Amino acid sequence: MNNTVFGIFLKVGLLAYGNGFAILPKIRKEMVSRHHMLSDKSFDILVDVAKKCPGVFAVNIAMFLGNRVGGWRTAVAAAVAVVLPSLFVALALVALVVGFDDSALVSKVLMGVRPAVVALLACSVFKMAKVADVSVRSIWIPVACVLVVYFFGISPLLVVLVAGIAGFLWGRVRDEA
Amino acid sequence: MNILVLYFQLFLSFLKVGVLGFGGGFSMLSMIHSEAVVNHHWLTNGQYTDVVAVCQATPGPVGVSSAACVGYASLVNAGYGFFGGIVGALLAVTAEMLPALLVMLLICKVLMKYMDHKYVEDFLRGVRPATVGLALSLVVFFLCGDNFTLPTESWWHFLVSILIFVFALVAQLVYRLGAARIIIICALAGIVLM
Repeated sequence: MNNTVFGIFLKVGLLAYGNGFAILPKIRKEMVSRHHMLSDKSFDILVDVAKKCPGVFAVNIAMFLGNRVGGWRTAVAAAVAVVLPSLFVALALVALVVGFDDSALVSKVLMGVRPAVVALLACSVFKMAKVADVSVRSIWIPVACVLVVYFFGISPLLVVLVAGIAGFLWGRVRDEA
Repeated sequence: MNILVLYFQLFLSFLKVGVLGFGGGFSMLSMIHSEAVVNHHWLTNGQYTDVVAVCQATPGPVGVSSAACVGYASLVNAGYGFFGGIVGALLAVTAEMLPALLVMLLICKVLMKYMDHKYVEDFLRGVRPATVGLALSLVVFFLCGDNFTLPTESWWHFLVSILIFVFALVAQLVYRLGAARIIIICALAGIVLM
C-alpha cells in the first residue's frame, strides 16, 4: 500500500506543472480507477477540503488522500513523494545559478530571464483575478493590498489574516441584515 | 550570523507561510518574498526573481520548489556553502508542510465536519481577492533595477529587457506558450543580446 501510494505521488510530483489542480485527473485515475483505493465521492470530498486549507495544494491533497487510504504513515509517504522530484530538480538548478552568478554567461542568461519572469508573474495575476472573480466592485481590495504591502511594508501574512477576519465579519453583518 | 540562528529564523518564517499560505503558489511567493527579501534580507530582489524563474522552469509545486531554493540560497549567501544550503532547503520545505500535517493528524475528523461551515466560507471569501493583490504586489516589487537594467547604466540592456518583457507577455497571453519554454527562449536571448 505505502509503496503504491509513494509511486503514484512520485509520478505526480515529477509531472506536475503550474496550476496545482492540474494534477487531480492523474491522481484520480491512479487511485480511484486503477487501484480502487477509494470512491469518486470521497475523492471529491477530500479535494474540496484540501482546496480550503492553507499551504501547498499538491502536498495537502497528497497527505489527505494518503491519510484516508492508509493512515498517517501513508500520508507522510505521499507528501514526501510529491515534493521529492521538484526538490531535486529545483535545487540542482538553483545551485548552478547561485554558484556561478559571477560568471559572464550565467549573468547574461539571468539578464534575459528576469524580465520574462516578471511578465509571467503578471500573466498569473490576470489568471488569479479571473478565478477569484475580481470585478469592478471588488478591484479596490487587490489594489489596497498592493498599497499596504509595497508602500507601507505590511507583511502579506498579516494582510491575509486581516482579509479573512474582514470576510468573516462581513458575513456576520450580512446575516444580521 | 550564527548558523543555528539562521536555521531557526528560516524554520519560523516557513512555518508562518505554511499556516497562512492561502491562495496558491503565487500568493505564497509573495509571502516568502516578504520574509526572505524584505524582512530578513537573505536574498536580493534579483536573486529572488531567479528563484521564481527556477520554480517556473522546473516541474513540481511552486510553493515547494521556492521554499527549497530560498532555504538553499539563504545559507549559501550567508557563507555556509553547499551542505549548509541543502540542510536549509530541507528545513524550509519541512517547516512549510508541518502545519498542514499536524492539523490533518490532530483534527482531521473535526476539520472535515466544519469545512463547509459558512464561517469558513466567509473567511475564505475575504482572503481570495487579497491573495490576488499579494501576487500583484510581488510584480510591483519586481519592477526594479535588478530585473530591468536602469537606462542610466545601459540604454541597450534596458531596451532589450523591455522587449523581452513584452515578448513573454504576448507569448503567454496570446500564443499560450508554456512558462518553461518562454524562460528557455529568453535565456538564449540574454546570451545573444546582453
